Amino acid sequence: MSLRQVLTGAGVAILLANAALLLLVAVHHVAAALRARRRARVQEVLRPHLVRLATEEDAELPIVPRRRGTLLELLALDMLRKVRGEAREALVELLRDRGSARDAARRLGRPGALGRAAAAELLGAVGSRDDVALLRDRLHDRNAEVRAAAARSLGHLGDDGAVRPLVGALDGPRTVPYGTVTVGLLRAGPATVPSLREILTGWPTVAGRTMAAEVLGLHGAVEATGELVDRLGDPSEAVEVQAAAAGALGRIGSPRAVEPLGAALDPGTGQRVRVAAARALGAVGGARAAGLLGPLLADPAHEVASAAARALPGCGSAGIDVLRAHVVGGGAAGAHAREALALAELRADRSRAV
Amino acid sequence: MTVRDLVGDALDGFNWFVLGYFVALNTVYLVLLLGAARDIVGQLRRRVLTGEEDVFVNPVGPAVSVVMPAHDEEPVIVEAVRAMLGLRYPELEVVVVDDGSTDRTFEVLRDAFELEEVPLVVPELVPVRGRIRSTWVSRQGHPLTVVRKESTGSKADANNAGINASRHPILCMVDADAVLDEDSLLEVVEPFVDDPLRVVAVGGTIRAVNGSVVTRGRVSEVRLPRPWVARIQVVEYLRAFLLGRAGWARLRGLLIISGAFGVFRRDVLVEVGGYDPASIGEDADLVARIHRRMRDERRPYRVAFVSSATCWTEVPEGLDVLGRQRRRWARGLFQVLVAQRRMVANPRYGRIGGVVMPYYLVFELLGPVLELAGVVSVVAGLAFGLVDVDFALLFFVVAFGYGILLSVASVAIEEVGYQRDRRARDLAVSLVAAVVENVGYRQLHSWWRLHGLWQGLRGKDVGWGPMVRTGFATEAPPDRRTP
Repeated sequence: MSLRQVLTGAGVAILLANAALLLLVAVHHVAAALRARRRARVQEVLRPHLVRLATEEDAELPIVPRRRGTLLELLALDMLRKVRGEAREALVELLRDRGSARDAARRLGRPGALGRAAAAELLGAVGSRDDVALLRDRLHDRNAEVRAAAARSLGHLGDDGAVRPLVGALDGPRTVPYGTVTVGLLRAGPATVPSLREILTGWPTVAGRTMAAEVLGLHGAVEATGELVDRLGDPSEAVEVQAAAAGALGRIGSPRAVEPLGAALDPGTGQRVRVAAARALGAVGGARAAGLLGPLLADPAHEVASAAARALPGCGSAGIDVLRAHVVGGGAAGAHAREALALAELRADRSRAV
Repeated sequence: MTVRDLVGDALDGFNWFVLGYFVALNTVYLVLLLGAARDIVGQLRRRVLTGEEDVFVNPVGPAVSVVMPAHDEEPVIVEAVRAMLGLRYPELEVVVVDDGSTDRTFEVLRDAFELEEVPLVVPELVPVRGRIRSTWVSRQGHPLTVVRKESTGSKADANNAGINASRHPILCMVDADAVLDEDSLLEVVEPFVDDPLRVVAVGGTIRAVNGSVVTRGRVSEVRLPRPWVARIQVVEYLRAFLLGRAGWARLRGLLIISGAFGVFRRDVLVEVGGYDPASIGEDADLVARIHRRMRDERRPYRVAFVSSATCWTEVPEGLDVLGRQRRRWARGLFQVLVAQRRMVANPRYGRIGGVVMPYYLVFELLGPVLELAGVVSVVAGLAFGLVDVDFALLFFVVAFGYGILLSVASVAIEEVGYQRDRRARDLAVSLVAAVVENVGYRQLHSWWRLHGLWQGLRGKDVGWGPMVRTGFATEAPPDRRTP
């Protein structure tokens, strides 16, 4: 092949590629603008009807052409995220009457991942307990987005039977992100507490037990205090689980937890657990908690001393007294105490101003 | 064989070598762009689903400290801090480090947020050279801390003071003039939530804010700037900082996270000793050291990139300021590669050492030498009749045409992938800028980089120089934003 031929070929290829890109950009821009305008026009017509349906008892939706069905579904789903109570029920009923849940269940088995994920999301919004099994299967989908959508939707449906599959999705070859499972379990509500208590004490993986501790705390599950204290005090337990148990005990706020949390402040315990226990004691509050936190102001680990100092105002006047005593003493403990007192006084000033 | 023949042969060989270099460079970029396109489409399709809301509503998600070093930022600082405080994120604090400002940076902050001096305990987790003079918090209840320190002329030192003063496990390091989209923090933190044990650092996209309308610290209308110097940088940032970095991240080879917007695990920053105040390219140096530490200790880790998390920043609109910036970047890259030379082409450091750093050495650092020499060589060869006209045309078609193709492709990927509501005129101007970027600007840029490399080799310490700030416009029309 001669140089001229190579030149011509390269030049033509590059020119054609550039021309094709320019054409693609121009066509896409025009098509997107037209699509957006058409969508806006249709939305302008449909949205008021949906709002009336959601807010008025006897409202009915006019007949919507089949080709507008997808847009109607998207609009209704968007509104579902923003409404509660009867308005939400009206929209869910609309979508169910239109067969959206049935269609979504069917789409869960289709090849396209985005379609399966969108179907899973829709089932979470309008599905019923009958769809839990389908969504549980999707927790093992080959696509990460589908798995995450299924986890979110299981949370929305609030079925206790989904707790173990959700926690199980933290481990294995096809996982769901930790944050997604957490939010899913939170959304499922207090009905999940019995299963979570079992998972806390008997699940084989650290991630599962950590998750259970955190969510139990977020649910304010007082009945789980015993199990959480056990996990916190078990020296063979993983640091992540111990720290999560401490955090949960702080959220629950049971006075039963004060002594176990105090024991976790021992210098032999890992720093992460000690910091979590200090914060938890501040959340539980009270004079005994203040007494346990006081010595930590002089702890050589900055994070521990700082956590203790910032937790003390949460213990009320007893905590403030401890801080004032340490200010007088000076040193590193005095510095932490001065900081915490100054911040507490600012907060108090703001409360008084309100 | 005459001397002329010998010179002609040597020139011929050299020119073919340079042509091969251009083909290799542009092909590497093409691979990165294609990888990035796939990644971006995936991320954007993901946004249609409700993933981000999980980060927002997750009460056990990581709290974030937004660290903002500031030196003489009086025109922009209050609005910038308000914007950071208004970011959509469940739990955050903003730590401003007033690095010895000589204007009223601190005073305007104090007045706007009713700052009160509080004796905060700031541990020296990472070394800080400039003495901390005082610490302040807001009486209004904002999660805002202002640290006043003596300036050592180093942004890295101010960053380190911010690391020490922050309280949360995730740090978002931003520039004082950075404008983040409302959800940028939610988006950029998501990898930490999804993979908390492995993700140690995440970068976001940097875009030029020039010409756009900024309302109360948020970009409300995206517009192209008027000066062509800035317009070309818009396309350049798209290609290099959005698609290039997304492509590298997809290959697990992200070496640079911009200092204007980078998110890190605080414990990892402390482990590697924070930023190096002696480094000009302190952002690249930091990430290189993180890679090195993780690999030396054989710890599983990931440095991620979220293309949808956007930070808008002001780019230079004058050639003098731009040239200074690019020379500094080249010196910074030289410093980093020298400091971490043990990693270069060392398989012990995996893809970073084996592929990415050699790429930066050959194509980014030494590339300008070859690029300029090649152009000069071909032109001179043509002038003296030593170079075949066909070859010269091939050279320019490959060097410029292929480069134009990549720039146009970048605009196309952004148009199709992001589907921003953009005026047709702006799109057309972007495409023109994509062409102009490769004819004239690129060669000028190579000259600056060459100059920067020379300065680095000579060990010349040249300061940052002043950046001309126009401040944020508040609902000002684009025409009046730039001087």
